[in-house]
Amino acid sequence: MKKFIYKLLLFCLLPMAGLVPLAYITDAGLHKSRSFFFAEWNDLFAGNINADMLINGSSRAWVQFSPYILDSSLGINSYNLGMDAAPPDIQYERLKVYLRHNKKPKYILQEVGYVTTFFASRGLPNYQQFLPYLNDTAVWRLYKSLYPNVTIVERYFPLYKYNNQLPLIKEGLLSYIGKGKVSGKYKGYMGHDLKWDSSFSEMAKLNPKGFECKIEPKALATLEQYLTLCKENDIQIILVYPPFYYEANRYIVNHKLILNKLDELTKKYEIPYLDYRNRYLDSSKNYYYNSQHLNKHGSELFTQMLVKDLKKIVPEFSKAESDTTSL
Amino acid sequence: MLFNSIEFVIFFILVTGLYFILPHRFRWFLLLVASCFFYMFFKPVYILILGFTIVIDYYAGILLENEPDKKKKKNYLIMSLVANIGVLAVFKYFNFINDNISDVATYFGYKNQIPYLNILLPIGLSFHTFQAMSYTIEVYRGHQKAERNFGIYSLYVMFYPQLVAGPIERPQNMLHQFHEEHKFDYSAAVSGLRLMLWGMFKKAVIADRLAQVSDIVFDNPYEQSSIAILIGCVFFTFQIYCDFSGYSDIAIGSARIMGFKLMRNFDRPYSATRISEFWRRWHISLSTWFKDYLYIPLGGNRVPMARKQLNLFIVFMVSGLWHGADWKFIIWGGLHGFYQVFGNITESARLKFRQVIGLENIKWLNNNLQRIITFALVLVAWVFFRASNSKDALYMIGKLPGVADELKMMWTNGTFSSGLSIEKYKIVLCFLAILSMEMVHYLQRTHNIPQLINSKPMIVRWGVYYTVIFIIMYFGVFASREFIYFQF
Repeated sequence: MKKFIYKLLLFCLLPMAGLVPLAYITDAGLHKSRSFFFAEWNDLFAGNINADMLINGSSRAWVQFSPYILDSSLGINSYNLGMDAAPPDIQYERLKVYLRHNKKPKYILQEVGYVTTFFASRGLPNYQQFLPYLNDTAVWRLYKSLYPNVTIVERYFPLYKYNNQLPLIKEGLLSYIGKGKVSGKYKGYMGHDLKWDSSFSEMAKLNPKGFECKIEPKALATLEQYLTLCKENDIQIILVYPPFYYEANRYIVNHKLILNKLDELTKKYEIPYLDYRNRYLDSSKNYYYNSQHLNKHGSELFTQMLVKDLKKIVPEFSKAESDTTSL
Repeated sequence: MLFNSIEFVIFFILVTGLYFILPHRFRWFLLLVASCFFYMFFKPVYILILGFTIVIDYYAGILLENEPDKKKKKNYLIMSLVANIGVLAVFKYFNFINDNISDVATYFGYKNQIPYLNILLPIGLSFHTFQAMSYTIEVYRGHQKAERNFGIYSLYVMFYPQLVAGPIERPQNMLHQFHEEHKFDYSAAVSGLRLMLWGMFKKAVIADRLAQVSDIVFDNPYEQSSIAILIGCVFFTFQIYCDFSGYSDIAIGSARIMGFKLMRNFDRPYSATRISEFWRRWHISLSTWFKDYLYIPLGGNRVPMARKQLNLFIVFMVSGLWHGADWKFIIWGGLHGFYQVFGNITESARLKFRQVIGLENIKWLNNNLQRIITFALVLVAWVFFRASNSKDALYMIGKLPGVADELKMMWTNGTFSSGLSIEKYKIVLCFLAILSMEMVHYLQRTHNIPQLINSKPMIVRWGVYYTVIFIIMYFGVFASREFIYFQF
């Protein structure tokens, strides 16, 4: 039996000589990567952001708030932390990680909406974005909460977390030698140069009577913790409801309830609220690629509108020079 | 606890390590506690049902052995079988029967007042119930002595490697093994680990990968093209084989490391050239159970031709019902029964036809054609097994002839598309996974693979193992997907 155990140990340890260095290089490479999933996380962990103004929210933040326009118009340093499909709990956790590694922002533009604001997360698409950072306790905790089936093997066994993700290993190795991909994002923002697609008509066909976007107590509690955290850190939070294609409103059967809840929160925490529904951008499909997301052109027009309003409500910005060139 | 989980790896290392550290007299106790823990990991309360049948069958065995009166003996056996089948009837079939009563009542304008039971089917119930039944039947027949040690009898029913999905063992093969002292055997340990590795490969790399495609097809059949449906059906045919035989390999391998010999459950079933051969190669422990305890008692081969065919058909219908309380499983069993009966009746005519056209003289062509036909028949039956309901299954089968037209159209247009909403490379990977397994199966026809591996130098052996482990770890699909046969 001893012979068997010795051989088994040798069998298990031998590949570690190759796997451990490979895992190290892959992770180190991805920590330097400027590719789609990792550029923002890397900026965040490296403490490179240190923005005056953060944009936080779901994909409706990520694809709609242009930091280029905000920076050039308001003379500040802004950064978009928007994350695809991220509900408040994930936004909250990401903000906490941000505050650990970067100086606190003066302002946060917090995107709100019918679908994600009061929704508690049940997993996220693009789990790959977390993989190089699983050694970070906060990220690991977040990852575990999003994907309850993960085990510690993913955290500690070399490269196992990249199961079925060969392109990520390749990206890690290439980034390590400085030849990795570079995403088309600018400070976390990526305008989508797309035309109106069929997702809205498909949704309307599937839900002719509309559907309910629940206000989940867990999500509401997290949102309140989030607002409290900002208040405690002296961060001026501004809730922003970005444009929403007008026809889609009637498919959210409880939209009034959600808007009332948002009003309630703004009063309770004394925070400004900018609502861009029912403005001219809402009425034309030319500005959107689906009912919830503005295309690149629409997002630039929206950010310009936002700049004007910020100048009205934030005294610091009222004297800023205007340069609203698009990127 | 799933075999393809980290929890099982830890559990297995601990239990196997302790098994060899402990003196022989304590080992059965360790295995029993481990088996209870393993079973309770799914849902603790289920152990009470298992406990109920264990107590009944343990005492039934002793009564059967002590009773000289044949009539009383038979009554004891009947009582034990009723208790076992009763458990199955309540937990597995009650709502199904009630459902059908409701349908009949509604048809005649009545309302069924029998309430439905709000219970979950205990995992692996059909497996351990059948294993327990084989014990009382064998004691009744005098082929097996009653087990006096309650713990060891409990272990016979609960032995964790085969508790939830077989192989369904016989007392003659298993019970004496719990009494024997198993010394650590290096070659058995290596061979067991190797079998577990192969089982894991079939489950994680093939079955669960194929499931990613077949689920799309079977969950939304009405949105799929004929080609997509064909791909989904072929993938499910291999998925269920890899899923179930993968489980069996892990079970047999993990038991082998501790010195236990479990029966073989699969023998390359898709290489069968006829349906009867398929059933000698597929889920062997269940097929032989039905042969020993249902087909032979019904008269077996010693009855007139017509009665023999009826018996065969009955056995397959019951086998379908064993799989699940749903008409689709009964249809699946019925189809296999029909294949067998039709095959038997037309055997001489088909042979004559093959002789007339000269096919009998070209052995390789004849065999391969029969293999393809058998595979196609099995595939059609699997559609009923997997589809959400019989309506979906019929729709899917009805769509299959459209494959030729779609291929023709693609040929004309010069583009090929599966029509599946999944990346092409994932479908290619599925085909590669199947191909890799079939290559091993092909090799198995002419070589004893374990011997072949053992004959190679260590660097080659370890290279093979590392490759398989590497593929499992980095290309396997680990989505906590249960083994399909757990539900039975």
